[in-house]
Amino acid sequence: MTAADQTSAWYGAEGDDGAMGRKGNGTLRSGRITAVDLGALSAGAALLGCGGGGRVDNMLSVLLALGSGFAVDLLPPDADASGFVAAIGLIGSTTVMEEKMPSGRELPATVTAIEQWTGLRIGAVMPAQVGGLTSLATASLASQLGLRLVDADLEGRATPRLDQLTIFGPDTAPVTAAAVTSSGLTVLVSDATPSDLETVWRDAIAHSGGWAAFAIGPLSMTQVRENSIHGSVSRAVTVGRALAAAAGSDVGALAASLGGTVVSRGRVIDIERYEDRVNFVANSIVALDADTGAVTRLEASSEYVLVLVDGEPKVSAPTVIAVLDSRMLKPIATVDVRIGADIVVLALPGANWWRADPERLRRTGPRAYGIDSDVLPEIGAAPGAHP
Amino acid sequence: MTARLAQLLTLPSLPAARLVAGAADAQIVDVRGDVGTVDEVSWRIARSAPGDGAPGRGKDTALMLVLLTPVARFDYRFDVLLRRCAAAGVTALAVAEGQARLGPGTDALARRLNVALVVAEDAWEFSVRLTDVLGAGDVPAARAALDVAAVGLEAGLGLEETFDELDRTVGYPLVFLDSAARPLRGSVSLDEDRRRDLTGLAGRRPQACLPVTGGELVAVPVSTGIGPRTWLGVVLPAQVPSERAVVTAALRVASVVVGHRLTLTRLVEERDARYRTSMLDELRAAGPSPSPSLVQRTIVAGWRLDEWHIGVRLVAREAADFVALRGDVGSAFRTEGLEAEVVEQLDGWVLWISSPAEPGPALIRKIAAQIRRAQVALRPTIETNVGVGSVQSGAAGLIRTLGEAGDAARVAAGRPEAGHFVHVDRLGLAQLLLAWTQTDTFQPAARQLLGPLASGSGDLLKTLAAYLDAESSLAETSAILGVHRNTVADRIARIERILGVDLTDPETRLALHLATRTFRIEPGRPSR
Repeated sequence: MTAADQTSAWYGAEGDDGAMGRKGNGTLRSGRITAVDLGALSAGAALLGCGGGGRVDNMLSVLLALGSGFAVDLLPPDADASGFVAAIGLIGSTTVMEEKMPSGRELPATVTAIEQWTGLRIGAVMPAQVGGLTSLATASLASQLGLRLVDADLEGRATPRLDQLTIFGPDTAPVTAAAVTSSGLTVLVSDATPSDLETVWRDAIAHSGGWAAFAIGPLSMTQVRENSIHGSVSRAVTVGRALAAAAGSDVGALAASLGGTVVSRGRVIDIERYEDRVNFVANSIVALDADTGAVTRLEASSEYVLVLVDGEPKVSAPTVIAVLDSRMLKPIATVDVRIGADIVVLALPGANWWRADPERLRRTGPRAYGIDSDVLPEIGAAPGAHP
Repeated sequence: MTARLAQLLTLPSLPAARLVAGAADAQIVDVRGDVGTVDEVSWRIARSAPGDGAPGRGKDTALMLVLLTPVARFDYRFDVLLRRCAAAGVTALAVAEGQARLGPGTDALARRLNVALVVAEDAWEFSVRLTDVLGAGDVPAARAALDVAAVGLEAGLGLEETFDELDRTVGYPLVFLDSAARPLRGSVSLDEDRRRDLTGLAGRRPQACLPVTGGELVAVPVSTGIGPRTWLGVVLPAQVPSERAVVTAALRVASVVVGHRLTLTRLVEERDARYRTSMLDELRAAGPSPSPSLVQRTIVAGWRLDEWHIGVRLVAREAADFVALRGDVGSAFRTEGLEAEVVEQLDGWVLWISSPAEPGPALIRKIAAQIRRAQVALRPTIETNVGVGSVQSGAAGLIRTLGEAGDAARVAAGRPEAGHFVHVDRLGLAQLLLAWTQTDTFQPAARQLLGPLASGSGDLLKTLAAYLDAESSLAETSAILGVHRNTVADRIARIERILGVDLTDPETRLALHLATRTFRIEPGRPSR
């Protein structure tokens, strides 16, 4: 199927959004995220962001200000529904975003641009990555436009680059996508590969505002079902609730409740940050456990990618690696780690989707983050099991 | 061989390297350099099997691994390498000094895994030299010997200059010990027992190793063929057998180099001594008007003949090397503030102190006191009889005061109560006369005069001396000699008969009395 054929197929589906299953069977009992869930979603997204994805606090404040006006229905990715989905994300510097706040128009404008260009209606949105800011931003967009939120994402954690999203496999057809910069510039790219998007958008961002919101789509529900990480949004809420419940108590219990493990603990004694050609920034963080003498090293780009204890590799992407403040059990972003901080390293199982195919692992393993290490087996997997 | 890391790092034959993390007492048995990125080296270690010669042949390898390729970054790759090193029995890991920052994280892990981390300025050189040190081959010793030989050929002929060059080449400061194992250069604390050990070894062993404070003294004898045997040594702080072998090889060549310089120095000193002695002899022979050419030579030698002089004579009471000790004499006087010309003699030295103006009595007393202190200062080196002449001016005056000093020195020989020190200005009449009895002119005359009495038992000579000392009293003389009064009277009569003299004549009595002094001062000389 050529790109042109596909476009016409999408076109033929116009107006089907009303048929999208509004009574999904998401993992949340209510199938609905309201203002009371925002704190949990935010904390869970921060943890699943593996230290990246942008700080969630500001966006959370904005959403909480909406008060009871906030409500989103979750759409399970495997729901029997027609219609089109747009994957929503943010690109550029999340730090700049904290200084240059979203106006509220950027996110809707991305969806509008896609609809205008393709003539198709977007019925639901999903976060491009569950980790960090994007989940909240997508939820806010869904609430704002009255769209449903697909309970899935394209990463399962957070990622610095677009080509690492699940939909961009080797035989993925080119996509249409629109970005709206913080300066209000709309850049629509059609028939694009992920590297096209990177090239065009990063140039645009560099000249216009420092960050942009983007939407990739329209994606069919079939595409979403087959090439996404199911249940990500509800998982974020679950994780967030577990964090809230565990606050001030034992991290071991937290790990157990989430099916994860405590990899190590310690006080940060060394941080080295340097420019990296592949992923813009790289960090090497070392923590020393005063009780056991164990030395933990965390290798990170904008996300934690690899953990070694006493020189032995323990956990790697795509497993979820979170660094928590050891007292508050609050996730610490890679940019916020400081010498002297007491941390605990928590690993949660990553998305199985990645481990189903070596090609997928190539896109999400440590090497995709510029760290020359093999993908390590999923936590809890039998020793010696191949990833 | 096995060596402690801390000891290895102090060896001067290794390029600069420092321990940055881990244990300084790590044992090192072997060293291996490896080229490649951290990952490649790490991979090789992980895959090395026992016995295949690759780094990491088991837990007891005690290997130092040197990364010859600079480490780009001390990140997780290096952590993995450290872990694999620890698992493979690598006790120390050396990396090249580079741009990459070696942070506390790497440091902490190295400590944790007990792998010592060393940063070497030049990793290749470090690896090669360390292989030499740890290996059993003769290459490092040969290299050290060659290096020292090069110093021998290229350094100047001065002893100090040669020592400085050798210090740099051997890598340790050299200690130069005299025949009694006292340090002449450099410092080493040897107690009496150790000194005896060393001097006892002389000639029997080509080298000696003695434990001393701060390490071990490795010493080899220096033999010049002339003069006493000396020792050349190095204090090795680290007890690394191969390093001892290297230093010993270097020292043995160095001992030849130093011996050569010592012989040369000695030759020059001997030549200068002969020159000075003969110039002084010529001056003595020339009398009041030395020839212009002689005067010119004395000026070149720095002798200020036309000034005022105080002559000093040092006569050694024991055999000694007067050429070698000249420097000690000069410095003993300099220490007392006296700038003296020193000229070697067969039995000691003559010295004189010159000044442009005539020194007053107070200054003369002060100078005499200084000379006496110099004599005392020299005592540990050599025991001397010292005579000091009166103040005289000009070339002839110099010869005169030196003559007086010589006479005074002879007097001093018999005056232990005066510390074997006699100053002509203080000599009483009796001593002056006594001194005269020791002059070269009087002694033959005295021997001739008393010669007839010397045959036989010598009783007549003793009786004559005692009789004259006792103011010609027969009773007193018999008491002194312990013989009967009539025996004394009989001997006196025989003396008068043999010598053909009349002892009642005052002139005769005086001459004979003085002549007896010649024999009394030199009792050991056979009287004829």
